[in-house]
Amino acid sequence: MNINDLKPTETARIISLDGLDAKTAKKLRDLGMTIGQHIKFIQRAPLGDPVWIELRGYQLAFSSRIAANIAVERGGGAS
Amino acid sequence: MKLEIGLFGNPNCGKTTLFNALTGGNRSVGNWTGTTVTLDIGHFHYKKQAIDLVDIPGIYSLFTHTPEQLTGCEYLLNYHPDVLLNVVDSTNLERNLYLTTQLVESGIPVVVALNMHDAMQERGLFVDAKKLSELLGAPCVKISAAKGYGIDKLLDTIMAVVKNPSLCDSDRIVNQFSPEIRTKLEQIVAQIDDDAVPEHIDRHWVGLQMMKEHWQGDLPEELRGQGDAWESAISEERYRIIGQIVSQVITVSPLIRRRQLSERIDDIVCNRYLALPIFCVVMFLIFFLAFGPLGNALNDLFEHLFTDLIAGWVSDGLAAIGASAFVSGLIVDGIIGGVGAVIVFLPQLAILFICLSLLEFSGYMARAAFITDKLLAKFGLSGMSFIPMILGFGCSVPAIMACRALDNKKERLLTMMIIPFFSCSARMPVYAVFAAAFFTDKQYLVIFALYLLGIAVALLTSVLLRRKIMGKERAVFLMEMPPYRKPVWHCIWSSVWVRVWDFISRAGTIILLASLVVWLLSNVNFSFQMVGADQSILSSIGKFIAPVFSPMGFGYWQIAVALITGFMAKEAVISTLGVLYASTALPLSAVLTSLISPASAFALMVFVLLYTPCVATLTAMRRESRSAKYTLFMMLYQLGAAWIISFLIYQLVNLLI
Repeated sequence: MNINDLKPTETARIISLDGLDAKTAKKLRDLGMTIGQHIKFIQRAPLGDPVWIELRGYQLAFSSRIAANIAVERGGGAS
Repeated sequence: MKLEIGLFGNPNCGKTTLFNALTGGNRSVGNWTGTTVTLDIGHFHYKKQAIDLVDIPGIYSLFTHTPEQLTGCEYLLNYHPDVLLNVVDSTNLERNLYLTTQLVESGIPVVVALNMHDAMQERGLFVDAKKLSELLGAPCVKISAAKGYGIDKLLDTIMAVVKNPSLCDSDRIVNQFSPEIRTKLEQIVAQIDDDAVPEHIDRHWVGLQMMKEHWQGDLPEELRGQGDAWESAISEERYRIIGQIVSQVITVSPLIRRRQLSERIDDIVCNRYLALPIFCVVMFLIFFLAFGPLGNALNDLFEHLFTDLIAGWVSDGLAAIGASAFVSGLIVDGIIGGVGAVIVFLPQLAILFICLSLLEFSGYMARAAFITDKLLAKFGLSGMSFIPMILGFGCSVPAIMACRALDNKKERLLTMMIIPFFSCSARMPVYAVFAAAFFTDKQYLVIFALYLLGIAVALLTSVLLRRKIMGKERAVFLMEMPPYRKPVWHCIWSSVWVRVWDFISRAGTIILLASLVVWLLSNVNFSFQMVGADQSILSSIGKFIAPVFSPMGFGYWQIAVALITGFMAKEAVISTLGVLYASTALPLSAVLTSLISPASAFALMVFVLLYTPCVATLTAMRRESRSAKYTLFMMLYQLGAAWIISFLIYQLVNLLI
C-alpha cells in the first residue's frame, strides 16, 4: 500500500521510496522521510490533490503522484 | 576588524525576523562574485564591534542541487565568515537540525539560535540547550526573534566563539556515523588534494560532499558507490543520530498536550467544503481593501495634497520670486505634474503590500497553494506557482525571484513567463486614472475585469507554452505547511517599507527623470527652440509610432509617447500624460474624455495591462532564467498579445454598443 491509501488521522510507517525518481526521493529524505519513519495522514486537499501529512513534528504536503510511489504499512505510533 | 556572520536556516524558521531584529533593517545588497544570486547584508554594532550579517536564502540541506543550496555552499567555500549563525525552529527541531549537522561539519564555528522559544513554552515543550550544545558540538542559545528575547545572550555567545573557536567541535557528529560510512569517508579524505580545498573548510565535509552522486565521477573508480547509495545512507544516518540527540534534549510536559490552535484553524480553513469559499473571500477582501472605498479615500487625500496644495504653493512661490515661464513650467508641470500623478497612489500600494505580507507571514499562503494546486494543474502549473503568481500583483520583480522556490527548472521558467500578466501595482495608477475618467460609476467593475483578464491571459499562455517548455513532464507539488503564526507587526512593516520605499525612490528617480525629459522634449524642436508641443521633438517621435494604435482609436502621439515611457516603469504612462497635457490647464481626465471614446480607453487599459513588462522585470527575468532567448521571446510575445487582444476587445466593444 502507499500513502494515497491512508485516511485522515491514520498513522503508517515508511517502507520504501524506491518507486520515486531519484531527485524527489533525495528531497524527501532531506526532509526527514527515511525508511522506518512514522507519518500521520492529515488530509487531502478539497479538490483531491495534493495530500497533507505530518512527520517528525512538522507538516508536509505533496502531489498524489508522489504519494502513490511511497510504500507504507499501516500502524505504528504517532510521528 | 569587522566581524562577518553567515546567517543560515531552513525556510520558515524565523531567519528574516532575526535578521531584522539584529540589523534594525539596515541592509545593503551584496553582489557576490562566484555566487549566482544577490545576498542581503545587514550592518550593525554590538559592544563597539562592527558586524556584517550575510543572509543566505533558506535551505533544508547543503548537500543537494538547487540554486539556493549551491549559493550556501559557494558562500562557505569562497568567503571567510568568522561564524555561522544557524537559526533553528525549536518546535520543529529534528528537521531543522539536519542542516545544523552539515554546518557544524564544515569546520567554520557555528552558533545555533533555538528560535521560537515562546512557542515551545506554549506547547509545554522544554529543550535542554546546554545538553544540545554538547551533543552537537556547537553552542545553542534559546531566543525568540519576534519578541526580542535572548538576543544579547546570542550575540555574547557569538563573541565568545570568535575569541575561542574550540567551543565548537566539527567532528562531534561525523564520529557518530556508522563504521561503514566512516571508513569510506576516511579513504576519500586521504585522496583529497590539500591545495584544492580552502584552508578553513574541514576535510570531512568535503569528503561527504564527494560521496554525493553528483561528484562521485571525480573519485578514483574503487571509491565510487552505486548511484546515490552513499548519499541516501548518509541521510538516513544523519536522521538516526539527530533522533538520538533530540530524544535526550526534549522534555514534554505531561500536563499540556492539547491540540494545537493551528490545527484547529486548519479544520476550518482547509475544510473540504469551506476551503474554496474562504480562499475566494480572502482574495476579494484584499482587492476590496486596496481598491475599495478605503484605498480610494486615502488616494483622494494624497491627490488633494499634491495637485492642489503643493502645486499651488510652489507656483505661487515661483511667481513671487519672478521665475521665468520656462522654469516654473519645468517645475510645476514637469516635476510636480509627473511625479505627483504617480505618488498619489502610494496609499493603495501600501495596503496591497501589507495584505500580501500578512498572507506570507501568517502561513496562509502555503494553504492557498495547497488548495489551488489541482486547479493550476489543469494549466500545466502546480500550487508551487501560486505564491509567485499572487506576489505578482504587488510587483513582478520579487515575484520572479520567488520562483526560486520551484525546484524544477522548467516549471520555474514557465511560471516566470506568465508572471508579468498578473497586473502589478505600478499598472494600477493607469487603470485608476482612466477608470475614474471614463467609467465613473462602474470603475471597480472595469478594474476588476482587467485583473481577471490578466489572470486569464497568464493561464492561457501557460497552456500554450507548457508543451514547449515542460515537454512531457508534469509539474509536481512538494511544500512544507508551516503552522499559523501571529503576525509580528515590525516584521510586516519592514517588509512593506522596502517595497513602499522602492516605489517612492522610483518616483524620485526614474519617474522624475522621465517627467523632466518628456517635458523638455515636448517643449523644444530639433533645433532646440522653445515651440508648441505640436512641433516638438517628442511629437515627431510619437507621430511616427501613433498609427500603430489607430485601429484601437488611441493613435495620438501623446499616448504613443506615454506607452514608450511606460517601458521604464508602467506608472510613467500616467506621469507622461500628466506632463504632456499639463499645458491644457484642464484636468487630465477631462482632456482624455474629450480625446478618445470609452471603448478606446478600455482597449488602452488592456494594452497597458498586457504589453512588455518594465525594464526592471525584464532584467530580473534575464537574471533568474539565465536565458536571453526566453527573455526576448517573452518581450515580443507580450507585445504581440497586447496588441491583438486590445484590438479584438476594441472591435468587440464597438460591435456590442
